[in-house]
Amino acid sequence: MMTSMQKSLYWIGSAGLVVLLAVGGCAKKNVVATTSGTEPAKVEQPPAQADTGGGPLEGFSKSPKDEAVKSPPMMVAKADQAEIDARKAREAAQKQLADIYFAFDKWALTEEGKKNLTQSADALKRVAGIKLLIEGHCDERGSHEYNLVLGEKRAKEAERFLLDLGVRNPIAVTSYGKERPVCTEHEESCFWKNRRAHLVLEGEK
Amino acid sequence: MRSLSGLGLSAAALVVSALSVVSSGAVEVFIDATRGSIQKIPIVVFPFQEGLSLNGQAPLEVLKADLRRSLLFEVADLEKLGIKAAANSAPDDESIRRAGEAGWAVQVWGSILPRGRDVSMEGVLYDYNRKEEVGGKHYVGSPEVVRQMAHRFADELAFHFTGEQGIARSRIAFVSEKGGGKELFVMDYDGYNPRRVTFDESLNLAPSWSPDKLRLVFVTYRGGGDPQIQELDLTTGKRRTLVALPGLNITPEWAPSGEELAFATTKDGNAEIYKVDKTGKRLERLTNHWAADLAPTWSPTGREIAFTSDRGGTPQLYLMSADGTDVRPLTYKDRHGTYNTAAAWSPKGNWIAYVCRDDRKILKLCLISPDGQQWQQLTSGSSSDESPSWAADGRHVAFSSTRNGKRDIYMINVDGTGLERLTANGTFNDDPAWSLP
Repeated sequence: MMTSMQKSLYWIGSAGLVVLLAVGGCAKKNVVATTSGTEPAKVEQPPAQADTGGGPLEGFSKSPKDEAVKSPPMMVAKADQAEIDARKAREAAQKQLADIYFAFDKWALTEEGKKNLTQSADALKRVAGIKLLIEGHCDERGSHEYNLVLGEKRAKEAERFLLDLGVRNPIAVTSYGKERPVCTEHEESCFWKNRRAHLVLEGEK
Repeated sequence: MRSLSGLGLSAAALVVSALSVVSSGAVEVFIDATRGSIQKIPIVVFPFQEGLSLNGQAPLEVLKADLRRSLLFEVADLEKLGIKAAANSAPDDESIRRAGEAGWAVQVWGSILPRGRDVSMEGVLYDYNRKEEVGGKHYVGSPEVVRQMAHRFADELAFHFTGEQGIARSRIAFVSEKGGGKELFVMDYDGYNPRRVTFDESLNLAPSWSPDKLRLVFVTYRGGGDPQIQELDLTTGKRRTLVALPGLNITPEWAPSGEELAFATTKDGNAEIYKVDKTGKRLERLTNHWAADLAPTWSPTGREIAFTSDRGGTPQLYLMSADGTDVRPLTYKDRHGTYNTAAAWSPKGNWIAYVCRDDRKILKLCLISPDGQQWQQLTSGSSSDESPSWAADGRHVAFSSTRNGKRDIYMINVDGTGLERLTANGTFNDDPAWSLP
């Protein structure tokens, strides 16, 4: 006559065996099964670990000793306020740096372009230590290499204007020609968007 | 003459004997006797003697909740049994006898008392059939760790009867939206004690635990520009950058050994999976395909990796060896739908949980066995469910869901029962990562 405890353990064991047999019947691959009763109970080894609040489990003891329990480690990553402030300033300044646009095959600044650059100059002066990259771009018409050169002329025009306004940020200039368009439709509604100089602060996009 | 623990170990042996290692040379599958249909161990927890006022949930309730959640125990309802035991360090003989006769042979009682400025929790495990105390535990600590003591005691009970490390001591890291940014938080596995661990006012995403539970690896936009993979040491609060390749660096996961970190990067133009050793110096490429390969998850043996790839036209799950060889599909668009991603391999090896899409194009959680033979949808309803993460016992999955408005962390049993909400702080919580206990 089994006690409830023994009954429940009997069921655990039986169910385990049933599953084992079921698996054995369905498996399509090589099954390496440990047979019940012939192997000692494979007890999971508690993982070796540093002090995570109490160490590995120790089991029950008839004369238990005191076991110290501590909170698990929770040292926070302190805020670097200077870094946060610098980043926020940079993000705010970048928002002010509007792209400037050019007429077909031209690198002269338009009135609109000059206005945008003037606004950008103000924003740049607030983050004068951050390096600025000016990228020149072109629409798809014309050859690759000619557009590389045209793009650089556009970027240099923008650079000259900013320097004349007293911008002191370190400035680098490059050109992507027609290699990095923002749109690809073959019509003016897209072309004008690619004839641009794009201003990027280091650490932004 | 068999003691209770002897019976327990025999049970463990019989259960373990149902573990088969199926090896085809390429896939390793562990077939575990899941506990859904197996009778649980009946246990009665008598009211503890409590000599101090405690905020929050009483330790007794914490213990009983842990035991129930483990799915290993059937916890007696003393009220239903009509047993009125006073909260003493040991129940009266009559209560013990009545509970025992009603089938609750495993009995637990104890006390929680002040000891100087500390608290002492003393618990006793009693075998009614043998009419003897199996043993006890004495925990000592500050009042803030009383919950931890209850969790630890629950895990000791689980370990005693099954040889398994219980999950009650485990923690869940997650991402919470705070003032326009996303920060990392860590909470107990039952949702208590959430603590914020980053304060960058930027985007910190995709936390993942080191196997020693001391460090969190995660994706950060803190440096501006492209996301990098950093690691926070919870014992010091110090951070180090692990991966800062040009382009996106995302989806980091430590191998179970803790020796290698798998991740995805777009430094080659498209997303590819790499792994790096723990010093961050030795980089090894695993995938080499023009499609996007990302979100690696390791098998518990560390020999296989499941990942997401859209090389077949739609995002699907694939398997490969840990050295990048033997890539083969796991999910197929005609069988499993056109959007399968975010794989998480159970620490027991028998299931891979992932994000799937139902007929209404709503994201749900699905399960597939590593041999592809078994499949089930784990969550249902019209909420968006994402980011599955397994508990160490392979029986519980944490995930994020919009089922209650914004987005919160939930846990669910692998058989779809036991849904439990873990966060409710009025903001968006996502990306849970479940630590080892």
